[in-house]
Amino acid sequence: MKKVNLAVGISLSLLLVGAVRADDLISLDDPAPAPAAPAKPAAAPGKAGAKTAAPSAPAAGGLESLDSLDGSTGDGSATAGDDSVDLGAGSGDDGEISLDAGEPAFNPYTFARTEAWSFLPIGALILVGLHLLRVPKRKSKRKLDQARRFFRGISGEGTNSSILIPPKPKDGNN
Amino acid sequence: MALLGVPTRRIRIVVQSSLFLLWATLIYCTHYPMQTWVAQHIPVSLFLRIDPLVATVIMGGMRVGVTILLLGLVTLGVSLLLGRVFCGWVCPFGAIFDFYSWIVKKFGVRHHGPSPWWFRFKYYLLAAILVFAIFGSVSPLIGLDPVVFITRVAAAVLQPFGRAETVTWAVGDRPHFMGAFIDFSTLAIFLAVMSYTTRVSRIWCRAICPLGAYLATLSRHSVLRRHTEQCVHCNICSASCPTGAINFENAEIYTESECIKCFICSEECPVDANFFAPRNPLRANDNHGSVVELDRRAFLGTSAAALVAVPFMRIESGVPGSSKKLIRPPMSREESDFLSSCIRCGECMKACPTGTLKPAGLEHGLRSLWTPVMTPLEAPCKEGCNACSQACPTDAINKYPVEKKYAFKAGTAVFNPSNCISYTEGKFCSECVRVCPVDAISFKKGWEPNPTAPKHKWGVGPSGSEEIAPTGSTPTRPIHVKFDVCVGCGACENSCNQIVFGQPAMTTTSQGRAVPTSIKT
Repeated sequence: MKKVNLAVGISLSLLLVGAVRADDLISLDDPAPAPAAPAKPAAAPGKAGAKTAAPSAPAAGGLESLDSLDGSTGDGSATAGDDSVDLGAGSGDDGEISLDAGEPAFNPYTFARTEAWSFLPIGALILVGLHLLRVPKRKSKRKLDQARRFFRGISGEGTNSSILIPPKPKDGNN
Repeated sequence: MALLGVPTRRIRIVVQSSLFLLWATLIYCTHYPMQTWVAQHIPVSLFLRIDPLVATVIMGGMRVGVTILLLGLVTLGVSLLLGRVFCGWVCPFGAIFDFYSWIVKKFGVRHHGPSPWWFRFKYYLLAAILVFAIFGSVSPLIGLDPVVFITRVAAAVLQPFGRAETVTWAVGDRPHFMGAFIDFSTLAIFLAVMSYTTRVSRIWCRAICPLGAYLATLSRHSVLRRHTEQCVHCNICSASCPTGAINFENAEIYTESECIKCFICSEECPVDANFFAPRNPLRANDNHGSVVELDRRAFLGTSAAALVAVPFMRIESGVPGSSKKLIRPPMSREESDFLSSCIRCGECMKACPTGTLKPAGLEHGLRSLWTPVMTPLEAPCKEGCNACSQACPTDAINKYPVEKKYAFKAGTAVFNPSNCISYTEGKFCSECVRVCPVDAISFKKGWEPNPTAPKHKWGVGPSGSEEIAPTGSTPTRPIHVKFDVCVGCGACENSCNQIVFGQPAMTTTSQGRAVPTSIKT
C-alpha cells in the first residue's frame, strides 16, 4: 500500500516539476530559423506529411494598399503629395523606423502542421466509444457469513438506504 | 489506510489545498507586468497546461504539437495507471467542491448520494467536443472543461481587481457589451452548479465535467483498485462517497471510472475493509467493479449532432465589415488557427493591464464566442507589454519578447478626415500623431503650437527641408496611416477626441493582421 501512495506522490511531483520546467522546453511550433519572406507562404519542409503555415499577404499588400486604407484622399488638400511628409522615411534621428522591408528573423507565424496529430481526438473518441460495449456482469458466488448478514440487515439492503440515513417518519407520526 | 502513519485522506487534503492555493496565487499573479517571483518562475497557466482535454483538443484540432501542452498527456498516463487522481487531488474546481461540502456538512446537510440518472451526460458532451476537434474546431463547449471554466470564472470576477489601472466594466451599448454579459453568465452557471451541489455532492464531476469523462475512459482499466475483502456491508462508504461511485445496494461493487481516489471510503470504513492496491486492470468487470455503459443511441446522436454543427460553427456574422472589427491581441495566430487554439479561458483578459481585451459575444459569429477581442475605444494596447502572450496557455497568442512586439501587425488604423476636426473645422488637434508609439501617421507639414507634445520634434518646415520644429510647436494635421508601420494598437482611435459626430477619426481594423512591419527591432 505504501508503494501505491508513493507512486501517487511521485507521479504528482513529476507532473508539477515538468509543468514548471515546461517553459524551458523548445516548442514544436517555434518559428523556423530562417523563414522565407513572411508575406509569402514558405516552401513546404522536407518532412513528410507536414506542411508549413505562414501568414498570408493582404490582397493589396504593403504600401500599395495605402491609398485604399487612409481616407485622407477624400479631402483634396490632403493627398500624399508635396504637402505631406513621412517622418519615418529616412528621418535618421533615432534609427527606429525604416521603410525598406527586410525579412524578419523572428516569425512566430511559421509552424509545421502534421496530420498525425488528428489521431489524438480520434483515439479519445474511440476510447469513449468503448463504453458502448456491453460487458457481461458476473454475480458474486461468495456467500455472506452471519456477521455480514447482520450488518446488511441494519444497513437496509436493497432499499438504497443506510444506517447513516434515518428512516423517514410515516405520515401522522410526527 | 495511511502513509507513514498519516491517513492518506489527510495527505490528499493537504496536497489538494496546496495546489488550490497555488492555482489561486497564479490567477492573482496573472497581471501586467508579470514581474512577481511566482509569475517569473511558474507558468501562470500551469493548470491549463496539464489539462489533458485541452492538450487533446488543441493539438488534435490544429494538427500541431505544442510542447507546453504535452504535459497534458502526462496527466493521461497518470490516469491510466492510477485512475482519476487529477479530479480528486489536483483539479481546483474539485477543491472548491470539497471545501463547499465541508461547509455544507457543518450545517448538517447530507448531500452524498447516488448520482442522478443523467450522469452519463458528461460522456456525450466529451464526444461532441472531440468531434469538433477532429474537424479542426474548438467549440465553445470546451468552456465546460473544469479548469477552463473555473479559470474563466476567476478571470471574470477578479478581472477588475487584478489590474494596476482603473478599468470599468463594459456597459450599455459600448462595444462587446454582449460579450461581457455572456461572461457574467459564466458566473451565473457557476452559482447554479454550486447550489445544485448542495443537494448532490460534486454534481459537476458526476454529470457535466468533460475532463472527468475523458479521464474516466482511461480509469476504467487503471491499476489502482479498491479492495473490500472484509466488507461488512454497512454502506457507510456508499453514503460518504462524493461521486456516488460505490453501489448503494452492495458496497463491494463500485464504478472504477467514477472513483476520484479521494480515499474517503477508506477513512470512513469502521472495519478497515476499504483499501486501495494494485490489481489486474483487465478484470474491470469482476464482482468488485461495475462499468459505465453508454446508451448507444444517445452517443451516436450526440456525435452526429456535433458533426452537423461543425459547418454551422463556421458561420460568421452577416454584418458587413464585422470581421474587420475583430481585432485580436498582438501576435495572435491567424484567425482560423486562432479559433482552433483559443480555449476561451480568459487568462489574456485577466492579464491585460489596460482592459482593451474583452470577450466577444455573438456579434462575430458563434465560433468567436468568448474569444478575446481588442476594443480600442475602451483602451489601447499597452506599449511594451506582452502579458496576454505570457498568460495564454495554448499559444493562440504566440509567445514573443517585448522588443519584438511590433514586428508584426495586429491590424491597421484607418483615417477618416470627415471625422477629424483639423479638417472639418481647421482646428489644431494631432492627438493621434502624438500618441502613436511607432510614428505611423503622416501629417501635414508646417507648425502648430503645441507646448505639451514635445515628442515629434522633426518635420518639414516652410523651406521644404527636414528640420527641428520651433520650441512649443509641432507638425499637425494627419494625412494618412502608413500601412507598413502601423501595428494596430488602437492608441490613435482611443485618443481621438471624437468631437465630430461623436465618432473617432481613426478606426482600428484587423486589416493586415500578421503581416510583418518595417519597424526595425
